[in-house]
Amino acid sequence: MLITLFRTIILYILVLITIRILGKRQVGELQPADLVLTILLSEILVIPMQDPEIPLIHTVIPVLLLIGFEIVISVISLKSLRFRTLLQGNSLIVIRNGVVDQKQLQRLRFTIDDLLEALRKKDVFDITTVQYAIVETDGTLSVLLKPEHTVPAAGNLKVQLPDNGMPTVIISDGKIVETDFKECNMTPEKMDKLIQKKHIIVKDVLLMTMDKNGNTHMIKKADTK
Amino acid sequence: MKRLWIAILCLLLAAVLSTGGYFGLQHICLQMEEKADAVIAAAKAEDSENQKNAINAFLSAWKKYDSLLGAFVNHHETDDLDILIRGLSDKASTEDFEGVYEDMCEIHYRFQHLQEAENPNVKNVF
Repeated sequence: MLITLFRTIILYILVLITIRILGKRQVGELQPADLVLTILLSEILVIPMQDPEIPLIHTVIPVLLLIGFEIVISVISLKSLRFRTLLQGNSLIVIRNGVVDQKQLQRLRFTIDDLLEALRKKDVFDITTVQYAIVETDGTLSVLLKPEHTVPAAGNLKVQLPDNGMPTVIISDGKIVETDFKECNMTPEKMDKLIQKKHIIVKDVLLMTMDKNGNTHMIKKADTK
Repeated sequence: MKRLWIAILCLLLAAVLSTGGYFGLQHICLQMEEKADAVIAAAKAEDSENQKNAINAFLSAWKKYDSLLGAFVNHHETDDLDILIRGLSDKASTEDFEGVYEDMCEIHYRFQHLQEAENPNVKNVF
């Protein structure tokens, strides 16, 4: 039993390191090669957890190889369009100028029900409002609505909206977060002044954000006891 | 660029571990087979003194390589070998050399099998 415990701990650490090295690609939408890798890794890592007969080196070597191959392939994909196309394929337009391209649907083995379902997932319930729909290489659908069905932006209405930039987290779960200070023109000295001015007790703050114009929003910790 | 270096490092490490493991295993098996051969020769000659010495030399080598072998080979294979070798150790301690020849031959074949099973040939790969 203890052997299983130690092996699980070692393999779990190996999984964390692997995910960290492979980066956000594994966590976000998966390309075919990424999906294959994720499935392979999970199978390779789970078997020695359950079977203490298998030496750990029989797991470590394949994991190292997979990490190496995955990164090398992604670097080559970055440099070579031809290789990228070979590996990932191309995005395919399934609705063009409001007309469903049935040949592409057949090629993708997509039924019209699949298309309608994918559109509904994009909050599009009327196919006649779609100008372009593209099936991406990871299988998701991207949709461009016809202009008459698009929500106008402030620019279209010639309305001037304030540019507050992105609200940045400056306090999280009772601790000051300095990593993104420069996004909101904050410095440690200004932070100290802000805390004094607003009489903030940092450890009592669940979340505090600030944008580049100095607008803050704060959520205090609730008493959950 | 950093990730590419990590990738190259991972691939090199995998290559080194595989190759090192393979040659390490071959070396261990050859060493143990040599020691086993010495016991077999002594058993054939029915020389009790030589048998005892050869068995002790074999057991020392096994003590040295046992854990290392366990890191490279499926455990049931090393467990089976361990059981056989313990039997041999008992015989050496009680100086009862009956059946040593047969036991040693089996141990020899098992090490030979371990060696052959790790060869990267068509039969083993497929």
